[in-house]
Order: sequence, then C-alpha cells, then structure tokens
Amino acid sequence: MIDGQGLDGAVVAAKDGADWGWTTLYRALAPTITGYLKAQGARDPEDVTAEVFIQAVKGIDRFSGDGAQFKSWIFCIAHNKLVDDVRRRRRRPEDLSPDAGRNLVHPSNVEDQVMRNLSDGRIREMFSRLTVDQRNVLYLRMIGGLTLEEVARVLGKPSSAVKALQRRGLGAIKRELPVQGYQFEPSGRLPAMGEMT
Amino acid sequence: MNISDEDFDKVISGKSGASGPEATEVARITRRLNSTYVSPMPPATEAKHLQAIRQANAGRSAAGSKPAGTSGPLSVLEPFKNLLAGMRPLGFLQLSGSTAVWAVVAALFLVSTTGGLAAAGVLPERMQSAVSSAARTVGIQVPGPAPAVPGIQVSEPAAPGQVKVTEGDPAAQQAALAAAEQAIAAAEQAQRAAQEAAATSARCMEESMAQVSALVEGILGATSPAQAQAMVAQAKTIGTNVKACSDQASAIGRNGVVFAAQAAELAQKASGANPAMTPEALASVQSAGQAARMAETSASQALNVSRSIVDNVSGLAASLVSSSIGLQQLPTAPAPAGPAPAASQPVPPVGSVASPPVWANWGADYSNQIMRSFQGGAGRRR
Repeated sequence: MIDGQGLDGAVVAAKDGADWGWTTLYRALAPTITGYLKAQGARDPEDVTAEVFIQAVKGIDRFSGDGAQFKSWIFCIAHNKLVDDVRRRRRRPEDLSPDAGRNLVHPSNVEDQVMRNLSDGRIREMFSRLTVDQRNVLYLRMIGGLTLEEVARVLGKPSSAVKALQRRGLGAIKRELPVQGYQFEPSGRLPAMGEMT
Repeated sequence: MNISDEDFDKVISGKSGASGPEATEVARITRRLNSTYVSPMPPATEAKHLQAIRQANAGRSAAGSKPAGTSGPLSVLEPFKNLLAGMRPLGFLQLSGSTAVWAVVAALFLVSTTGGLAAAGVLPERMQSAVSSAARTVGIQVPGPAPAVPGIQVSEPAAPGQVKVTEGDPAAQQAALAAAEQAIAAAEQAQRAAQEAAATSARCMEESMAQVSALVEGILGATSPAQAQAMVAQAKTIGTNVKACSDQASAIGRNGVVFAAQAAELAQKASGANPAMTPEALASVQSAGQAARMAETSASQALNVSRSIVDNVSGLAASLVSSSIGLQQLPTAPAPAGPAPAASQPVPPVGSVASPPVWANWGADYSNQIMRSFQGGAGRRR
C-alpha cells in the first residue's frame, strides 16, 4: 500500500509539468483509487480514475504539499467524483443497452470471474450492512490507506466523528463476520462451509 | 472491534508492531478488501489513461502554466534525493538486510542522476548556445559595412536564412548566392538534428528515470518474493527499452554531424564562389558543425548512461537473486497450508510480509478455503 512517502519527488515533477511525475503518481495511486471506486460501486471505476487524474492535472497549480498530502488530495477528488457518479445515476435510469455489462465477465476466464464475483459479493455484502459514512471511512482507511486526519479532510468531517464512525463500522463488521462465514479463528484458518453453524 | 488508532495506522500502512486479536482481524479484513478490489491496472488501460494524462498535462503547459522540462538539472535530481531520503526498508527487502542490494540501488540512482544531468540541462544548454550562435551567423547577419572587395557585399543585417547580395559581378553573385543558400540549408538541418538529438536523449532519460523510480519503489514495497522477481524481470525490459531509446538519440546526433559536414563542404563551395564571404560563412558552418558534434556527444553520453543503467539494473537483478534474501529458495507460488500464526503474534503488516512462509501459507489457506466454499457451498446451504 502506497503511503505517500517516496511520492514527494514525483509531486514536485508533476507540478513542474514533467510527464514522468504524472506517470509515477498514476502508477503508484491509480490501482488503489480504482479499488476504492470499485468497492464503492462506481459504474466504471477505471474511467472515473482517469477523470480523477485529469482533474488533478488541471488543478495541480492550486495544490501545494508533499506526496502524502497529494495522496489525500487526489482521494478527495476521487470521492467527489464518486458522489457525482451516484447523483448522476439517481437522475438517469440504468443503462440497459446490450453493451452495458460487457466488461463483467470475460469469456476466456469465466471460472476465475465466478470465483471473484463470489468473493466480491460476500465482502460487498458484509460492508453493505454499514452506513454510508461508516463505509466511506473504512474504505478510505483500509483501501486508500489514509490516516484518520486525511479521511476527515476528504469527507469534510471532524476527526473525532471519523474516529467514531470507524469504531462503529468495525464493530458492525465484527458482528457481521460469523453471519457471513468469514470469522477468522485465532489460528488464522478460514472455516470450511461444512463447519459453519 | 476495539483497536487503537496507532495500531490501526500501523496495520493499514504496512508497519509492523500492531498485535492482538483485534489488530489481526483488521489486518485480515484489510487484506481481503485489497485482494478483492485492488489490482494492477491492465496495461492497455494504463496506456490509454497515461496518454490522456499527458495530453492534459501538455494542454496545461500550453495554457500558461510552467512548461514541461523547465525544472533544470537541480530539480531533476530532486525527486531522487527525496526518494533516497524517503527510502525505508519496507516489506520484502526488510528481511534481507542485504547491503549488496542497497549498494546496487544506490548505484542505480547515481547512474540515473548522472543521466539526468546530461539529458536535462547541462549538455543540451551548452549545445543550445552553440546552435543559437550558429543560427545567428548562418543567417549571415553581418552588421555594419562589409569589406570593400569585389563580388558579394553584405551591407546590412539579413534575416536568418537569407543572404543579401547588393552588388558585384552578376555571375559570381549568382554562384555564391546558390552555394551560400545551400550551406545555410545544410547548417539548418544540422541545427535541427542537434536539437532533435537533445530532445530525444532528454525524453529518453526522463522516461527511463520515471521507470527506474517506479521500479525501485515497487521493489522496496514488494509484498512477496514472486512480486519482487516479476519486478526484476521488468527491470531487464526497462534496460532494453532505455538502450533502444538512447541508440535512437545517438543516431540522430550522428545525422547532425553528417549535415554539419555537408554544410562545411557547401561553405567551401561558397567561399570558392566568392572569397569575400568565406570568413562569415565558414564561421557559421563551423558553429553548426560544433553544435552537431555536441549533439552527438550528448547522444553518445545518453547511450553510455543507458548502458550503465542496463548493467546496473542487471546487477540489481543479480544481487536480488544472490543476496541473503535467498530468492531462489523461496516459493514463487503459494506453498501448502501450514500452521498459521497465533493471534497473539505480531500482525503481519499489510503490504509487507512478516516471513515468507506466513505469507505463503496464508495465500494457500485462503484460496483453498474459497475453493472449498465454492465447490461445496451450493449443496450445503439451505
């Protein structure tokens, strides 16, 4: 997980207009940003990630800070894009065209995709029991790797509120674990389906 | 779940030290989330996105922000200084304690920064100065009264690329004008070749520095031996690409020398047509020739630097393999499930491995369980 350290130089270069700075930042941060957007259910997370970076390029002159601050800034852009995406989807009906689900399953790797969907479905279900705010906090913390303060800045909430949301979110997940069949035993072994009660 | 902020931060940032069942659970949920949602960008998508980002960046430069590449040699070095300062022995490399690896990484950076100097300021600047000088003189801008000799007289400054013929024998005028214009055209070609060589070598070094920087970042943050090995393979590819790029720069630089030689020859012709033009025209094409030779020097340096990078990247690969990490002994695929860590043990930080067997066992255990759940789940669920 990228923690922003080591990105300082790339941020300086990006601010200076050097392509390699942006390339480095993209390679370091795009996977986690896409992961965050995917987890949040963005319709086309990869395209949104590209939009996030393009917006960052356009706004880099207004940004000042180091690699860690850049990371929290770009997650802020990503989160805002996500909110826009959700609003857009509420206004417009779902795309029912034949192309709408073309990326869901690649015909050459159906088994892997089924496995992934199964796993995705369970973890998504576990987090779907949380409130939106709790989910935002935990995803930004656990996928984005942001600190409490950085999450507070992204969400525009006080740190104390973020801390409370995190605690309640984790508590809810802990309660959810046995129901979902994901209770991690002290040994670290995952129980098989037959062992579940 | 009652986990301290400090432990939570340690778990999600990949730092060791968090312990206890709560931290263990947070670490595992975090791993699950990351393995479910975070994956490398597909190469085609990455290429498409980077293209769009570069276009936006170019648009930003054109719109009046700082143009690309204005940073100069010092700020080219800055990222590497920062990266070196920010280096922390994370994850996989933390296990090694191998000074050989660090030495090779440091050598890689030294080579990269030397290349940066060559590409991003020092040589191109000197060369640019010579080119500018050549362009000025090739334009036959000779201010003030010209020597009163038969043939062509240049009586006032001419625009670049033009020769003003004011008086003299018409046939001699014509011959000298044709030769001088050819010399100017050749010198301009030399100038363009020199600039192109500089731009190509600068781009080459910029791209290679970005790739090397990303690669070293990746190696330092490698979460598994397999990942580190994949990056070592990537290092070799980068080395090959850098070499190809520098070869191209060098070839362009050599073209510059050929054009300069043509310019010199044509200048000789011009001087034969009219001795009065000789000193100015010759000085012009000599400057152009010097610029082209500098271009070739710069391109050759880029080539040498790229070869050094190739050597050092190969050295890095060799050191990684042969150092105390003992890559060759570690499994590249998840090993069969074994005893998992007890809950009281320190939590393996996310993004690193506490020890290879723990990592391998965890991966195998996880995938086996998922597979069993998948195979038997439908029948057992009511």
